[in-house]
Amino acid sequence: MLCIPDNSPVIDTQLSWPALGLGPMIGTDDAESLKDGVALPAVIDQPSPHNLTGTGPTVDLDTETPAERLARFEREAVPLMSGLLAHARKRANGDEYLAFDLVQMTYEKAYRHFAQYRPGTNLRAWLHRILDNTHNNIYRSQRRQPAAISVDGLMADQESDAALALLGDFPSAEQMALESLPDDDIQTALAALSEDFRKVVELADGQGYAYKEIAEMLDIPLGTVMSRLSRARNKLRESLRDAAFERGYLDAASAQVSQP
Amino acid sequence: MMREEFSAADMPSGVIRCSEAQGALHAYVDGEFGLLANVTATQLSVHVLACSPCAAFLGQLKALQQRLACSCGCEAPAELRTRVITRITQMHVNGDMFAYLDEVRVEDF
Ligand SMILES: [Zn+2]
Repeated sequence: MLCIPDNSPVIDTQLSWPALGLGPMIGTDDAESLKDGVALPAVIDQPSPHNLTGTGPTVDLDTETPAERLARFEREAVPLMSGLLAHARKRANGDEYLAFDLVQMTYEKAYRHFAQYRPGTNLRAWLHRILDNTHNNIYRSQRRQPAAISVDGLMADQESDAALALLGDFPSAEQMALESLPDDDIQTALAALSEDFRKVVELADGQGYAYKEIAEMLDIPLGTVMSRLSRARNKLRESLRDAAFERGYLDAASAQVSQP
Repeated sequence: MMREEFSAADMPSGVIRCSEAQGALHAYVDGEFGLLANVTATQLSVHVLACSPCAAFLGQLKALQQRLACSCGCEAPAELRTRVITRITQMHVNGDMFAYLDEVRVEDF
């Protein structure tokens, strides 16, 4: 079942990952904005070659009334809730109440900062990013409580998490293709997977179940869940890369990036 | 795209290979990083921040996951939908679009 209609954008493959250009990103506005749980992807300062979900009419942010902004938010951001919930379930480790809270907090923050979201850029990625940061903040505040265990480990985790969360601001051509391909291509790629692989992907990525839950549901060992999932994702990337090449979203050089 | 992988030859102890990093990244994007015994969060972030193929791989995994999150028939429950819309409408009526900025200062104390 498809939730989001995608148009068929053309990808500017010039916008590729700048080799090792990561240093300056840390400690800039991005790191600052991580603190309030809303990191604005740096990519929004670049002209976006793909209009993913902002399919509405052109918006004049200066003259937009609050009521119009609310309407635009409901039209564009609210339909992305199913995907966000799947993501929230992963972060919440099977705690459905926490997953619901994460989604609600994400929408609250997104709405408050919606004026900062640049129409036409990747709204889905922006929302998912806010969700990750919201989750990080909850983690951080738990860390301050006296009863917190393994403080050092958690701190290291959180710092690493913050660093890793910043990545993706300069998406590779392949990432941009993944973000922009029509839903039909995603469905076709899923359908081409073997039954065993597809089930694991649908439970993990589609619905956000934890590895442990999937292992119980399918009655397979945890290690099998993990290996099937990574193999299935690699197969999906492979077929979606081919699809992107056929659609002209990727040039031959980008489409030939070798598999890990 | 050029490969800039770390080879086993020039690896100090504690440094992980691309294959290990990418295996760990699958678990990382699933929030299951805690299951891995062989790679620490610091090892992973140090590697990924310095390795452009692995950083690109992480971006691709996130993008793939975001696409799949909406493609397998999962539907947010009506209860949650209503809760969110009610809350946002409430915020709109109260005009507290920027209240969050104040909350942050308190939280970040
Ligand atoms: Zn690497």
